[in-house]
Amino acid sequence: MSKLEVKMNKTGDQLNVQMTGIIDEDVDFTQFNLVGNQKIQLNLNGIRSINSCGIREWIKWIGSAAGAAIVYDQCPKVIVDQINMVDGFLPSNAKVNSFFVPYYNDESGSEKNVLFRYGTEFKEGSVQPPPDVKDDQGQVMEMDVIESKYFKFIKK
Amino acid sequence: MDNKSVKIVIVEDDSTLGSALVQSFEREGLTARLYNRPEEALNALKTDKPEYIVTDCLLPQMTGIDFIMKTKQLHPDIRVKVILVSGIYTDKIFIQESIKKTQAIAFMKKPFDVEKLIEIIKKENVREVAPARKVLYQMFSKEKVTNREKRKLLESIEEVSGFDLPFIYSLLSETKSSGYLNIYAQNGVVSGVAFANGSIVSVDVEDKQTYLGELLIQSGYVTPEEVQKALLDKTNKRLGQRLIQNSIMSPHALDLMMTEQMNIRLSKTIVDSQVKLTFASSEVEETHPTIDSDLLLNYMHDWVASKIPVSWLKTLYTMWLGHTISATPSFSADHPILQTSIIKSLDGLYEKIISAKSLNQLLTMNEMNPTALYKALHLLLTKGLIIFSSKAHFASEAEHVSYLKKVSNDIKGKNPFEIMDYIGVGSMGSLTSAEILKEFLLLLGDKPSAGTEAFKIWNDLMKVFEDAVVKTSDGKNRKEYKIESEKSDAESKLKANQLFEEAKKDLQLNQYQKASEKMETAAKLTNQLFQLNIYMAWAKLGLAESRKDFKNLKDIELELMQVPPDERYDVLYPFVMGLYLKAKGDLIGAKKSFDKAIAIDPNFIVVRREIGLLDAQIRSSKKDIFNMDLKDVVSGFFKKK
Repeated sequence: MSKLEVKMNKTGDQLNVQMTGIIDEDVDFTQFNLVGNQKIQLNLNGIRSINSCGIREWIKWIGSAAGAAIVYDQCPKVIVDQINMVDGFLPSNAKVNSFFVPYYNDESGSEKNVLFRYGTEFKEGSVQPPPDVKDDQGQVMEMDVIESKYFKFIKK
Repeated sequence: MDNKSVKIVIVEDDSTLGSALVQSFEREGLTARLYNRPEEALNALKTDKPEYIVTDCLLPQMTGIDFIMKTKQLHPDIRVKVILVSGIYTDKIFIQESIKKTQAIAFMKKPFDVEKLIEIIKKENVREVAPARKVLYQMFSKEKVTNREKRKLLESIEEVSGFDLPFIYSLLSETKSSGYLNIYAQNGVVSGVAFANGSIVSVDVEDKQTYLGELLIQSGYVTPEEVQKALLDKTNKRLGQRLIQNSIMSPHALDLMMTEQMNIRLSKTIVDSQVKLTFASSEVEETHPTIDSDLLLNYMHDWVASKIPVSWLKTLYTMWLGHTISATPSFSADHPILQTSIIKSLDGLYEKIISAKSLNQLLTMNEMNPTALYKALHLLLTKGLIIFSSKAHFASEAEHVSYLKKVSNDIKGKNPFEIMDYIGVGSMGSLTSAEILKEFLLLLGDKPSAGTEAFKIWNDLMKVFEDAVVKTSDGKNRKEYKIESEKSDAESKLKANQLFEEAKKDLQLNQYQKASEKMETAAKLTNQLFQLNIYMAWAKLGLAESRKDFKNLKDIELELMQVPPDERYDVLYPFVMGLYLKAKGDLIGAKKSFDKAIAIDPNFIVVRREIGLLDAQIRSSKKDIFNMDLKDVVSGFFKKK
């Protein structure tokens, strides 16, 4: 049984897709048809993990919407990693509108995901992180990724 | 390089310039804070805990030099690197004196290129961090490794060799990880391994040869027709379940085959090419069957023995030559690893490891087969049973001298690129010259006292290394070397293949000595000869048989141990195993192996000949009832009646 929940609804000429769960070998993307849509917005906030089989299925599925303008919203780290590592995971007709950046505080061990939005925290070729990210105790947190690797897709 | 932890305090009274610097640093992911007045900066240092101070030399209230001196006086616990900048004080003597006084790492004359300043900080930052691959192999020295640490470590490694993967699998298994390890090959293919609480629950490799149906047919569990029929069933069940449902195979047999499938797939990831990795912690369902830590040990033994070439291990271990080996608390005299073939082939290895001080001492004991020793050490390291000290250590000057002489000897006649390869930094393009030199320094150990013999050799070696670093940093030289080296590799491979083919023909004609010599030469030219170890074992067994001298059976065992699992599925492996068992005197076992070989390829004439010889030998020898086939024993009883 698939561990992925997909909700699709169409508003005007845009197909909105909300995904939650795990993308693995059990996923059956054929039931979520993307063909024929001009605009597709994918909200990926709920994706918890993706394995190698899931990556292959994703590339086939997203490739079926070759004519559409696709936007990836609220990409968690697991998705950003694939965008950076795998050709075709973010096809040329797709762009990232927002993504999460993990932050960490060494002393308290607290972790937090901060949303970077296009036009605010990043744009083509550059990143402008928020000046201060603090945890619930008000402690300053540091970015918990290797910037040169994590922001690679922005600088491409 | 991870810049996120780099904090920079900028002390600059020109707010426009100061703010521009902050923005430039932050664009690079470096954390920066600006203070216009030195007093403000002094008050904030305790909380800011900067790693770098970039200060103007001309400030209100005090000079930049005084500010640094006061910082050192008021905050002696803060270890900070200083970069001085000035548009006024730019004469040579001032620069020299201020650098000396503040121990600054750089002095920038205004106006300066901010990119250059960022580059200085990045390079300095890299120098402080040990190469990630080295950190990886020291992971078991930590009492507890958190998921975050594992993820960060794998992220910090730009690329690893496929030969590093057994260590990574073991690390994730031993530290009870749950999540998905994705492996990205250079050709764009993605493979994956899923871990549930330290057990491997699935392995995904794009390879049709390892489809379950293929493996079941190859292993004789089912026929191609049975698989076809099961595949045509209109059900959502997976192939294995369909075969069980049709009573074609048992659930136990399916479990065995699925475990073997994971083993073969994992073994296929262990190849001589660079890969990138990500590990995402996640809840993973513990499905059945799994490869747990104990079973993984058996597979790792196989992979280390058969997949990882000793030349690669020698390069990996060069970085620890002078380092002390110590056993981790999990390593004891009754650990199951001591029962594995590689370790058992080395008499008293456990005691030697416990008593040896450094890797070099162990390697120079000259009592053990070096190939087996490297492989045994790697198995122990991979399982987290031994670790190396972080620095080279020598008990006496004499020991240091002997060690330095060995290094001198090892690099004798090598060109600068080969010297870089010697310590395994040749392929690590991301390392700076300073980092590479640091690796050489770690290799040689602390600088010996002036005037000693060790001091002289140490200095000579450092000169050679520095020269190698300079020559290899030239892009043009590197390109020429690469072209030359590729050409030479291609010629060597061609020559090796030719020799290998000749050797195979010699074997068919019982020319074992000739075949053995040709294969030894071929092995020196390349380590990419398919089934070389099996053919080598055949030649050695043929020689032993013709001379009736079976003293070298341990060597032959080592050859057979090095046969990768994916090379054991054709006629040659059971045939050579049959020869080996025959040499050991196990005639029944030999017969079974030959029968298996003939079942795989009835046209393999040499096996037929061996079966004929063996049958005659068995008939003439006294039967040992405990080693006979049950069928023969029972029929024997009936015959007696």
